Amino acid sequence: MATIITKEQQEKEKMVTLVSSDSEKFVVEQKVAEKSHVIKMVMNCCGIESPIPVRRVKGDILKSILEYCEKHSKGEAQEVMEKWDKEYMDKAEKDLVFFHDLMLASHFLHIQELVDLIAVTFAGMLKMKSPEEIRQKFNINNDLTKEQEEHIMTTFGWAFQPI
Amino acid sequence: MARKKLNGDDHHIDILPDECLLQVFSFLPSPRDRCSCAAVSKKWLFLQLHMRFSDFHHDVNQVECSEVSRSLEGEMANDVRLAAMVVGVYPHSLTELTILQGFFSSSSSSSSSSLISYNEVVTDLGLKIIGFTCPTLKCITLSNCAYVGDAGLACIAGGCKNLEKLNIYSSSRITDDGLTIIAKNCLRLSVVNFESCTSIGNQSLEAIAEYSSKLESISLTKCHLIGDPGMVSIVSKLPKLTRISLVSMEITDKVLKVIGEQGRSLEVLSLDSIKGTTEIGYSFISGAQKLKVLTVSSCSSLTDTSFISSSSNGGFPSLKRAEFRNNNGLTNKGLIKLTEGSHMLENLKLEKCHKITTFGLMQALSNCSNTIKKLSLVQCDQIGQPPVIPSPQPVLFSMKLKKCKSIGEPFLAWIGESCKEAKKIAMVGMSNGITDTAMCAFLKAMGGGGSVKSLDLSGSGRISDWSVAAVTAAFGRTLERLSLVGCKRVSEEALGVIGERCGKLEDLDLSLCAVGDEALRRMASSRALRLKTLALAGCGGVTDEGLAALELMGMSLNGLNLIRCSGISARGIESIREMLWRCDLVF
Repeated sequence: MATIITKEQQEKEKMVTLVSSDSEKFVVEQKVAEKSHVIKMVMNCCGIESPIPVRRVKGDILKSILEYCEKHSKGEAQEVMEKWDKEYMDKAEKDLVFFHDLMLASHFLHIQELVDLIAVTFAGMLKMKSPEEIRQKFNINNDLTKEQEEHIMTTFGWAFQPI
Repeated sequence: MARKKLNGDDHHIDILPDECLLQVFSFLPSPRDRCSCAAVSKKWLFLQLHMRFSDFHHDVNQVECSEVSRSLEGEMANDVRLAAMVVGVYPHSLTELTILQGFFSSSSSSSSSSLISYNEVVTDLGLKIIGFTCPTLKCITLSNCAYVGDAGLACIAGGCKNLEKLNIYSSSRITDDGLTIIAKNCLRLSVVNFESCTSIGNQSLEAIAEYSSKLESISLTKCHLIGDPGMVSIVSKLPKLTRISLVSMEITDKVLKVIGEQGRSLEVLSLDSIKGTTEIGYSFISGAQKLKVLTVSSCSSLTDTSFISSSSNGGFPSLKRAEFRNNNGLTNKGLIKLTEGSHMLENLKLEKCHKITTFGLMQALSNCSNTIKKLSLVQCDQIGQPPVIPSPQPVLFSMKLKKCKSIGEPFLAWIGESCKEAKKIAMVGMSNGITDTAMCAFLKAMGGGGSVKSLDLSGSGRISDWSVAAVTAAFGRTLERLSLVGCKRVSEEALGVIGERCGKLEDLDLSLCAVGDEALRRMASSRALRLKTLALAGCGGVTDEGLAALELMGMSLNGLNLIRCSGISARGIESIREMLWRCDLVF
């Protein structure tokens, strides 16, 4: 028993420094940084002594991501985590630019749990929306010709025909 | 990564790689959402197309998936529709796809012949989508798909490993290369059907013979590059092959010989307009011991000799159905020899066999009088003279006579005895031979009773109400279908007796008859009649008034044909539509 506790304590003390693309520094516990599969691999091969540059992620995004990782490394009860995730996402989805950056960064850092969480939230934004509503919300150019779009649109009823 | 405000020119979502969007879509499995997303942009449409069933996070209480078939025809047959169909068919699995391309005019709109729009035709891209997204596909039909080639077929081969049926009609782009890939990859292939495929040759058949060990049926029509080598390997290498159909093909006796010697499982053989064979070749066919159905049409080299030598080799031990159409080389002698050697023959069909006479037919029928059940004679001009020698009469369940201009009272008086137990009788288009006297002789020979369920007297312009009265007296209790198309002398009297006597009648066709309002009133007033369908096409004498009488039958009627009824007004149609709201109306 005793040895296990000391090991945990030792790990707790292991801190790592992450540097964002705009040179902001974040000092976090190793187990928090390990939530990212990419950072974990970097730590495994290069150690944790020198700061790890996270070149493609800006400070505010990295901060938010590390907030998520820290919460999720504590091992709290499921209901607590679900509530926390929901509040976290509610905040994130208010700013779509931030939201997209967050998704890209979590994808880049390979934090699968967070990518899934964002994808589910994103899917919620698309659910039961018309193509035009989706285009407006996400500012997507409609590069389908009018004919093509009509083709796909008029196909709806036909594609759903009963079997 | 400078942060910009979301404005008109900023497409920030584009920073996300495809993997991220696919991840998002994976949480939207419902067909509605998939379609909406597909219609957002080209990129989103193609991302949707690249998702497989297993890519989605499914709800636990997700609807059960079933197998569906889809058909794209004419203007609908284009890549965009195909793509939308693939998305829309989710989550069910597509097992059968038919693409019938109309004749595409390259002059239309902006497209030049080199640049084909996905909006207009199905191309290799369309098949690529199918290959990628429909691993469950079992049957694909490509008709007139001029822009589909080997590349598309290769995609099907790569993705649809369960393919069982392949039908290709009118293709010049698909070559041996494409079919070889299909044969190598789709090992469950059991039915192939090629028609007017100008670039498919022997190499395709050799590949199929090599790899498609489950092949059961092959049908080739007008594929001029295919000849002996391909056919020989198909017949000799495929143990499960049960059905061969060749139309307008050029083969030699070598193929027929291999069919006889090695077609161990062959059950159905159909040969139509074959060139290159001789009368000797056909005599080898009887070697296929399991052959049940033999159809030979317009093969000028088929003669009596073909069956005379096959008869000496033991005949056709399993043959149940024989059909000969337009074979001038076949005479009484050949037909008699054939039936002598076929002890299982149940069904004989002769069409335009002008060298076969009543004598030959009677001999043939007496040869297989214990087994024969169905007889069909179409445009056999020499059959009809009165029989000379009495012979054992077969018991027929079904008899069809069509446009045989020599058949009249004497023949009917003879064949009637064979129809005592017939369920289905058709005498169609014989305006000369079928008269009241002839019908009388026929019914008399039948012994009056009988249990006929279906009777077709279409085109018998000479029969009168008397024949109808006699027929209904004989079969009224059992008759379910009666067709009197073009029996111009049949009047309201006849309909009165039909109404009274035919309680089981469901389908009645009176098109082109001289019936009027009075006739309909009489028929409808009968309480016994419970018609399901009634055809009155081209009955000029029927007016709105007569139509109104049909209300009495309205409860049972679910089909009514009023095409070219010039006496009926638009208002009449409207009111009958209201009255018989459950009924399918054509006018």
